[in-house]
Amino acid sequence: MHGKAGQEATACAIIEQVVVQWLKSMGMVVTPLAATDDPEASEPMCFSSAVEFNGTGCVGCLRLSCAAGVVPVECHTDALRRNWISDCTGQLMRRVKNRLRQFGVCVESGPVELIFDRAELQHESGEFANGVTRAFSTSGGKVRVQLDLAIDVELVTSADPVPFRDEGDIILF
Amino acid sequence: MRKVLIVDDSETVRNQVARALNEAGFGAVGASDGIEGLREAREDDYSLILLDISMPRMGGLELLDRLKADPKTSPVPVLVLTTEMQEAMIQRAKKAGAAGWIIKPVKMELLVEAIRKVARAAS
Repeated sequence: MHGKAGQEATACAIIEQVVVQWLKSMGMVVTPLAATDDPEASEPMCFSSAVEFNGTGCVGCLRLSCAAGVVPVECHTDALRRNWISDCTGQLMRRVKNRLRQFGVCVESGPVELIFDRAELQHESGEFANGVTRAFSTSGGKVRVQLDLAIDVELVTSADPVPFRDEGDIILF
Repeated sequence: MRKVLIVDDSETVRNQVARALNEAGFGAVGASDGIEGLREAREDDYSLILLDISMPRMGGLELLDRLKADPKTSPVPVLVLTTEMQEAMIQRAKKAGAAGWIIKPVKMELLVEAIRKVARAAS
C-alpha cells in the first residue's frame, strides 16, 4: 500500500495500538469506536492539547482531546486538569515515537501546546484534514486522538537498530 | 532527613514524586525549571537531584552540565526522570555524570527504591 492510503493505514495502526496500551496502563477499560464515530456529537471534548514532531522522512502532529469525565477527580483545578492533559499528550507522543522507532524512524517532538477554547479546537481540528482521527470509549467518557502523519512509507522497515527502551525502565549507570 | 530536589515543569509529577518520597521518609523540594533547580541546588544540601529533560528556560541536560561543573553540587547524584528514551540522550547524560535514567511513567515504589539505592551509594 503506497501514498496517502499507506500513510493513513500506518497512522491508524499506530493510533489504535498506542492509545489502547496507554489507556490500559492507566487502569482504564477502553473500546475503540468505529472510524466514522464523531465523539463530539454526543459528548463535548473539554480538554485538548497537541504536539508537533518531525524526523527523517516523517513530519506530523498529534492531538489528544478528552471529555471532562476522563480527567482524574484529584485534578480538581483548571490548572491541574490542563497539566494532566498536557502530561498525557507527552506520554502518548512518547509511545508514538517508540512505535515509529520500531519502523526505523526517529522523530523529535516539540513542546506540548494546550488548546484552551472550543473555537480554537474546532478550527485546528479542520487542519487535520490530511490526518486520521480515532475515538475511544472509556468508563469516564470519550477520548479522541488525531494523528497527522506524513511519512515516507517506502522508508518504513521493521528493523530496529537501537536498543529497545520502554516506559518504566530504570537504567542505573 | 535525606532530602531530594525534584526539578520538573509538571506540577503533577512534582507532587506525585514528593508524596511518594515523603511516605518513604525523604524530604522533597520542587523546582519548576532548570534555572530554579540550579539555584535551589546551590542554596541547600541535597542527597539526590531528580530532573526532567524537557523544561522551559533551562532543560535537564544543561542543568546536569551546570550541576556537575559546580564544586558545591557536583558530588550530588543526579537521576534523570523523563519520557525521552533516545539512546543518544541517555549516553549523553551518562557521559555528563548522571547516575541513571528513568523513563516515565514509572511505578512510584520502584522510583523510590532507585533513589534510595543511588543516594545510599553516594553517601
